[in-house]
Amino acid sequence: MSMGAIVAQADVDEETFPYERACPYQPPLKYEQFKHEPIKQVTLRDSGLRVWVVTGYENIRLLLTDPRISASRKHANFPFYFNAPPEFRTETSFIGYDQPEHGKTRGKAAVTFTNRRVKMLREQIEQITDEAIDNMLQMTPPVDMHYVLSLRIPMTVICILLGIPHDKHEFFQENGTVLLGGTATMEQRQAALVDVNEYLYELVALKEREPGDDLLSRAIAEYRAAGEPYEHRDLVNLCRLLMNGGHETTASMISLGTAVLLEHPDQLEALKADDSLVIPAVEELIRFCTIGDIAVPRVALEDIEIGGVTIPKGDGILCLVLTGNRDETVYENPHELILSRGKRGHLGFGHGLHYCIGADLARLELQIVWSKLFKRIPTLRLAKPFSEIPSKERAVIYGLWGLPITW
Amino acid sequence: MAKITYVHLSGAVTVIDVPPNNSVMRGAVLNGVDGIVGECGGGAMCGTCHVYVDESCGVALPPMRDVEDELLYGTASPRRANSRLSCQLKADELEGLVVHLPEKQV
Repeated sequence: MSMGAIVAQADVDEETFPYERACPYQPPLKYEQFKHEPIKQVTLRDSGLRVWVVTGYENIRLLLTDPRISASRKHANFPFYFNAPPEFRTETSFIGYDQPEHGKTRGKAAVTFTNRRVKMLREQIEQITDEAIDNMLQMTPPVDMHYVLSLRIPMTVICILLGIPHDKHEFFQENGTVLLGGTATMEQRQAALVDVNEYLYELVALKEREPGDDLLSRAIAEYRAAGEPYEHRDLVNLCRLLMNGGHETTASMISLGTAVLLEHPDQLEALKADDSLVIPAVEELIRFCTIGDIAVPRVALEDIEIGGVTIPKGDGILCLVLTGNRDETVYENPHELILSRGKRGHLGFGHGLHYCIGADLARLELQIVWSKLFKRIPTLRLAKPFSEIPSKERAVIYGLWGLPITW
Repeated sequence: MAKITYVHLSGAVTVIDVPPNNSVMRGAVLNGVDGIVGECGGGAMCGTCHVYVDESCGVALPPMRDVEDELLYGTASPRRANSRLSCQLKADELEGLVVHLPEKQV
C-alpha cells in the first residue's frame, strides 16, 4: 500500500467502524480509503471509541512484532466494540495476556497444537468428517450445512483435544450451537454459558483425579511439574478460549469457503480434478475470506511511529488483516481467487506473539473437509442464490449465518 | 550487538550485527535474509525459522524447550541433530554463532 499524505477528516460525517463488506468475500468499499491513508483513526460504532486502524501487509507485520504493543483488555482504550461493564466481560486467557504471562499460559497448551501432534489427528478428523457427511446425506435436502457439518466437525475435534468424555460431546454441540447460531434468545445464551462453565469446572476436577492423554491433563501436569500454582479458573478460561477460538472460526471458514468455491466453479472444478491442490487451496481461501479481519485489537504502550504516523501511547489499535491479505504490493490481483497460488505467509492467522495457536489444526480440518465434501457429494450446490444468504456483517468473526445446500 | 553468520544453501554468507534484545530469527528477518520466514513472528508456533547450527563455531546454545523440540519434528526440511528454531536463540548471548539455512521453511 502506498503511503499517502494524512488528510484531516471531518468527524461529523464519518461512517463508524466496522464497515459492511461489499460482498461476503470482498472487503468493505470503504477500505479503498486506506490506500491513501493506511493508518488512520476511526470511531467504533457501538462503543464510540476512537481507535487507530493499521492497514497493509508490511505495516501490520511490523506492528504485530513490535514489543511496544499490548493485547491486554485492561487498558482504558482497548478497542472493545461494545461497552460492557467489566463484571459482564468474560475473562480471557492468553489471547489477552502480554509477556511473560502469555508465554507461560500459552505454553501449557502449545505442545498439543504443534504440526507433529496435529498430523497424528488426521485419521480421527477424517472419520469425524465422514460421519458428519454420512449424517447429512441421510437428511432430505435442502439442509443447512452450517449446522449439520461446519459447526459439528471443529467442536468434535476440540472435545477430543480437551479430553471431554464422549457422552458429553452432544452437550457441547448443543450449547455451542446456542451460543453461535444466532437464533437463540439472550436467556438461552446466558443459560448455555453458565452450563458450559459449570461443566468445565467439573472437567478440570475430573482431569486432576483421572488424568488422560489430553490437553487439559497435560496442562495440569505442566503446572505441577513447574511448581506453578494454578487456579481452576485459569484452566477453565484456557478451555473456553480454545473452544471459542477453534469452533466458530473453523466453522465459519468451512461454510464461507464452501460457498466461495461454489461461486467460483472454475476453481472448484480444478480442485475436484487435482487432490494435491487442496493444500494451496486452503491457504488461498483463508487469505481470501480473512474471517478475523477485525479480530486483532491492540493498545500502544509507548508512542509508536509507523508509516509516517505516530500512534500515541495508550491509544487503541485494530490491525485490519484483510487489507494485508489483499495488499496489491504482495498479491497480484489480490481480489481474485486463484487456488493454485495459495501459500503460507498470509495474515489470516494473525502474526507475531498471538499467531493463531490452532493454525495447523485448522489447516488440516479444512484440507480434510474440502478433500471429501465434493468427492462424496459431487452434485453439492447452494439451495438459494448466494446473495440471499445472510452474512454476519460487523461480527468479530465474519461468516455466514447459515449455508443452505442441496444435492 | 552480536555478530551472527547466516550461511545460505548456495554457500553465500551473510554476517549481521544483530541489535540487542533480538533473536537470531529476527536479526535475519529485519535484514531481509531469505531462507528464514518467521511466520509467527517468534512465538515458537510455526517452525518456519529452522536453522542448522554450525557446531564448529564453538558457541554454547541454551537448552531446548519441549515446544521447540515438538516443532522441529514438523519442519519442512528434515531435522538433524544440530537443528534449532532461530526464534528461540537470543542473539545477545550467542556472539559469533554460525547457522546454516535449510532448503525450505514451508
